[in-house]
Amino acid sequence: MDVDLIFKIAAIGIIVSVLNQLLIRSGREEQGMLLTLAGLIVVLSMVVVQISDLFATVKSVFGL
Amino acid sequence: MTHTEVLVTAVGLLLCGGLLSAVLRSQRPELAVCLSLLAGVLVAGMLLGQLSPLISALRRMTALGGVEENHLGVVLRGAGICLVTQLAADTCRDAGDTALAGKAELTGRILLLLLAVPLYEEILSLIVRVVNGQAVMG
Repeated sequence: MDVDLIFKIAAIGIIVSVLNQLLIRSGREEQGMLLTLAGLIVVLSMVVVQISDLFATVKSVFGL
Repeated sequence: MTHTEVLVTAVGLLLCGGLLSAVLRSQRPELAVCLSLLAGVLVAGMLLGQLSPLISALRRMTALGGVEENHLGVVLRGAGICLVTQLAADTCRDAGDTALAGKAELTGRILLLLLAVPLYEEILSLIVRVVNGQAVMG
């Protein structure tokens, strides 16, 4: 399930960049910008969960 | 999970993360940074799960040597602070922000110093007692 997350984020990145190119070619730069932002937010919300997991593990292992 | 499995899983995760973030870097650098951060976090979490036998062995050894229990706790806490701040600094440096990476390292150093100050005070008070000629035995 760990590798799935990495592949998922890579897929999101590729899809976002393709759609961004499409939007820019059709002259909608501002929507491309919003799409980039949406992709970043989705990816960050996935990464933040894992980071908080890691911090909980660090806390329990090292007794912080 | 055997040790070989841990090694193979870590190498696979890191290679996948590194290659995919290299693919993304030219188009979407911010997502490439997210991807490498995620791969690093996943591998670190997996490795920390494997660390507990080592820490319990350390506890047994310190108990054998008659070292105070909370001294080992200080060392472990320092290791945890180093790990977290190193993660933050490396991610900032990957994102091209060297100044923020420096701030993350500074945070780690300051917290480590704060952690170590009670130990320094202990050593200093011991030295003062020895120099003043009071009984070390007592």
